[in-house]
Amino acid sequence: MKSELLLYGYGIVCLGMLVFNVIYNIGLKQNGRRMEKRVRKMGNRIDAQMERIHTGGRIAPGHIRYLRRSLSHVNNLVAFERAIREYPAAADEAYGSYRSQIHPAILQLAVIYGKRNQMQSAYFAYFLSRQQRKKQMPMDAMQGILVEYMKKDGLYCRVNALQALYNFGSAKNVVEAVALLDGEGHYLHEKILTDGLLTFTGSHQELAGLLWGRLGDFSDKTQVSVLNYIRFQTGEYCQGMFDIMMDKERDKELRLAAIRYFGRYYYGPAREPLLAFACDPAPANWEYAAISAASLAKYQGEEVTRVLMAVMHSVNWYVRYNAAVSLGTLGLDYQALAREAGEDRYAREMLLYRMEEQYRKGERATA
Amino acid sequence: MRDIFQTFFNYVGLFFILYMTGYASFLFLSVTVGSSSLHGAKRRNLLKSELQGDYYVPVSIIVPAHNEGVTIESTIRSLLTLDYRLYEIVVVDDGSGDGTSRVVKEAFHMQQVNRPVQQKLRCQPVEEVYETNAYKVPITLIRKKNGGKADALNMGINVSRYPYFLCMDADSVLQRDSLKRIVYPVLEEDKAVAVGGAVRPCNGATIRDGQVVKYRMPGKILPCMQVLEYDRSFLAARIFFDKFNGNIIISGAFGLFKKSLVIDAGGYDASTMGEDMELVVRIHMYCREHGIPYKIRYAQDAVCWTQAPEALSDLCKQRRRWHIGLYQSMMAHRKILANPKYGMVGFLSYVYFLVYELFSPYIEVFGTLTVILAFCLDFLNLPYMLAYMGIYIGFSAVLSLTAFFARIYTADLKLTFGDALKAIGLCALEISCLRFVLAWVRATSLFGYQKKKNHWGHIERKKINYSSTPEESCP
Repeated sequence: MKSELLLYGYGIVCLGMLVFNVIYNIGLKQNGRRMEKRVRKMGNRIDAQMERIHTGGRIAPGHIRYLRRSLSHVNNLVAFERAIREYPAAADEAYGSYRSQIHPAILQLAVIYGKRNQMQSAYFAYFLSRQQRKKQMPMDAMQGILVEYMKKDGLYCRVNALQALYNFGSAKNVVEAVALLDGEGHYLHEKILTDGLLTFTGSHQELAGLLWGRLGDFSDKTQVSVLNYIRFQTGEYCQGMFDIMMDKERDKELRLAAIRYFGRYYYGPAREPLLAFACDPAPANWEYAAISAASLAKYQGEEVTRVLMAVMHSVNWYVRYNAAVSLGTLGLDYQALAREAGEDRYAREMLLYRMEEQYRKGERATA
Repeated sequence: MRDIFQTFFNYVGLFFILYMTGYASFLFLSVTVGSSSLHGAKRRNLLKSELQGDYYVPVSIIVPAHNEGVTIESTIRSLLTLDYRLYEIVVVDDGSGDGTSRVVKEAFHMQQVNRPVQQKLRCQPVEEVYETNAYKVPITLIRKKNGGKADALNMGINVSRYPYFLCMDADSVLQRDSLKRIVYPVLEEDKAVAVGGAVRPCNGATIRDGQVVKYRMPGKILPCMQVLEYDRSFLAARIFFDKFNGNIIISGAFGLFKKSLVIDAGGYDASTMGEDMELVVRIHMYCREHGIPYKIRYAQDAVCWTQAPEALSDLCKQRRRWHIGLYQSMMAHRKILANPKYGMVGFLSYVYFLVYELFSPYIEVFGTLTVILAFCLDFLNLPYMLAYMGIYIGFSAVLSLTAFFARIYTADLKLTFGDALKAIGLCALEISCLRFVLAWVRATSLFGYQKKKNHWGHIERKKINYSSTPEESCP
């Protein structure tokens, strides 16, 4: 009897799931149609306001109240974003005027969405980043609110808020946000931070300066991201990078980032330490050797050539490969170097392989 | 004598009630979690609660190939359309006899090079190396002595330049955004060391330039049933296990790994046919034993399209191989069973795979034979049995369809009414017939194990319905 009850119980669950699936799928289809309707209605409202602006008027106060009320529902905000996306760009003054006039409503929404769950906050931050791309709206007060979004738990909320701040172009607020993010201990992959900083629309010089000024306040991971960002922007931090590279107490990734910096920007005092790193035979230090071998491509001279050739006998593949690339970049002849490699088959093979690579790329370049 | 049989059938009945209750409950829970996860992901996509930018980590895509001359060119062309900033393609021809290397060399105008290969992982020696930089990304072709898929993957790892590698099959194609999406978990969490993607049968799909332009259920019944089966198992098990870092398998057709960790863990095991599962279980063990914080994730919206066998004989060979691989992996790492050191992996994941994957064919075959015996001895309560079968088939069919339609909807695929009816009609057939056929195949797969344990068998390949805008050589 009990087994029959169990059996029929599962039968009821099965029927229940069937009914649920049918109702849910119907609901999903209707949601899609509802969203399209919302976008159309929103578009019509925006059109009406644009018409007023085109004829020399201002937008109706009722419209701002409407936006404040309706956009606090995230589905309406999605519809608004899709409707406004259709409008052409910054060249249209009416569009710019519309955006300025609805700014108070957007500011209030920033506070409202700051208290919502991560998904909704993330969407609002995304919405802002899309609008500011066209630099249409004054966003000074907004940025302060967005910086507070760094405290939220959701990764995407923080990333979208940072992107919005990059688009606003205020270095001070970006640095505040990065500091807050770092201080809260939230994880952000170094690639996301570095690549995001590179999309900053304001003065990179100012941003790099402010970030460098607060470098010591950041965790090692954030410092690496900042160093990598600075590497792509400016060669003005050679002395600071040199100090990091030479400081044995520093995190390994930081020192490696500094070594990479000198592969991009020539700095005379860095030559000797780079040569020393490249020659280090300790297996545990292979990364220092490999990256230094790559960076030495920027440094001409007999001693550099001698060290790179010596490093061609390294047991580590990456060290040999990077040294071979650097020797080629320094303009040396691979065939001559291969003869000089002597009995070391691994060194000779690497040099000949690099010679082939260079030849193939050269062929492509002239084709 | 009758009393003995009665007692026997009572115990068998009790066993099956517990067994099926466990399975049905797990299936219900996992499909519910999986479907809501898929719908949640769609909602997150709508609300841009995902990475928006062009973020990346460099990836080496390794494609081991053995006699894949029919499909390898499509596979590589699909990889050239990936929407990703920095990656390379490494094709490893594992001693093919059908001219796989020749197809690749001619199609992509490759040149032989004398590239030194670092032997971080042991594998069969290199015979020839070819390269080209004439396309969007560097393509390297390694021709080596035959050593098996695991051996070829190890060679691919040795040759790869980047800190992450993606393993995929030579009869599969990726969507434009597949690589981006499988990398996201690595960018989201610093502990992610491996990520599995969703594998779907491409029979019936038309893919152009990395996008599905038309989706139909396959024309033949067998691949149709496999579509339903794949959706159920990927949606159910993988997403559910992902919730507690319990995935012990990443499909060899599509998986991303942190190279340094795989090398430290010893690479792929060339002595097993289930190299994909074996590696993932070993990563679990390695990380736990060395106190390394880690996560093995599942990216449900990173899709790889693969060929499902269309002939029953090919399907049986495939499933036989999978079962042998499962057996080898489970036996090699049996110490994690219910071992507190391995957490939920040992208590839930391993137990699930042991009972409901490894032992299930034997249990199902035993159950079928018992039913027949009971019928012959007039012990069978026929109405009850029919009700049981009906509810079992209905329950499983509803769950399969839930998984199927959840995937169709969340991936924005358009399904014709006819195909929807086909799916509904075939899911009952899949559960009531195909499952039992495959149970028999899997149950007998270990017969003659010692002789056949490394024998992959030949599976007929068909050209994948994939087209691309002619790739121009880079200037």
